[in-house]
Amino acid sequence: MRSGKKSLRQWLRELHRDIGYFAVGMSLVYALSGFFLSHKNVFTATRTESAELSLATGMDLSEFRETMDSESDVDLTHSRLKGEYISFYFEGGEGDYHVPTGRVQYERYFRRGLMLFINQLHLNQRKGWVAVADVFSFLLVFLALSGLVMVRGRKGFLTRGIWFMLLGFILILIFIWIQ
Amino acid sequence: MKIKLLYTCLILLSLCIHSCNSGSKSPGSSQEAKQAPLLESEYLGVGEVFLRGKELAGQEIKVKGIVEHVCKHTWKRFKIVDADDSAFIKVELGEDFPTLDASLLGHTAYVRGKLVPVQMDAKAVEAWEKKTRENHKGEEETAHFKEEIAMIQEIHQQIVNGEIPFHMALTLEATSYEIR
Repeated sequence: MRSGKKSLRQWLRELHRDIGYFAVGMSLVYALSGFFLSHKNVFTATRTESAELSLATGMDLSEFRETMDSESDVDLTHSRLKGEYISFYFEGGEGDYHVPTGRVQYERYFRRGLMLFINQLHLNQRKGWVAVADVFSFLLVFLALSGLVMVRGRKGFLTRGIWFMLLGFILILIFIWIQ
Repeated sequence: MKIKLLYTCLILLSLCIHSCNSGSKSPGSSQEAKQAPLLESEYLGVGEVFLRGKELAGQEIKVKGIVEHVCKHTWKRFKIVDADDSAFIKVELGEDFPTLDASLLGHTAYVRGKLVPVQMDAKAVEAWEKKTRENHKGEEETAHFKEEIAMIQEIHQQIVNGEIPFHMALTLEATSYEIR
């Protein structure tokens, strides 16, 4: 028979459950963006498209600019001589012309909107997000602490959970120690 | 009933935190700047800033230039140049700015910020080279690294040979910027 009054543990379980559901989206934002940011050289915020052209050799700056205007789909905004190369820039990209061989290599960068957006959320760079981040951090504290006392019995905190918790703390301590 | 009350408290708490935060606007958010009309004539070119470097030092100025390099280490710095020159101004964005990305390259940046000139003698240029090597460890074979080091060494050589008395590096601590 169930009594009408809920115990503290039941309260915590219900809150833990509902807050857990609520936190799914934000947890994914932080987890994914954390991973992307840790490996930002692999998961770049831009997608790169590379292209190559073969032009006449030995052109000077002005000849090169004219040729690029007529023979390529890029509008140069800046170019300059760098040793054997002419480096050039256009809106959203850059490239090089190798003067002795006439080889042109260039890259266009396209934003990965979603990745950039969630990275900016992670870094609190979106206006107003800091409030959400603050609430989320308190919710995480609640989830962590309520999770400790939710389960009773053989698989409860004092018989099983404590060892896992200690393992987690040891992991942190190892990193403090090896720094 | 109690659980509803608790959820109401949580929502109120979040609203309260939000209202506390809304007073602190990010000073240079580019999203805001995009809405404001831009008077091109108010912006100096990079070359003009170099010419008037001493006079403008420490002042808040407006500069326009083509984005030639975006720092891949911080995504918070970029270099701007004039269309037909190689002299650059380094633009530094503060903590409140969103990170940048490589798609900005080649676009024209309209930057407002405090101009910080740094006069570098041969020793300072040597220190600059050392710092660059440390910051770019593992990138020694990249074109960007080689170009950067070659440029620093050329400046060093010019000072040592007496061609120039010092090198003037200009940094703009941005308060706002807009890309067009």
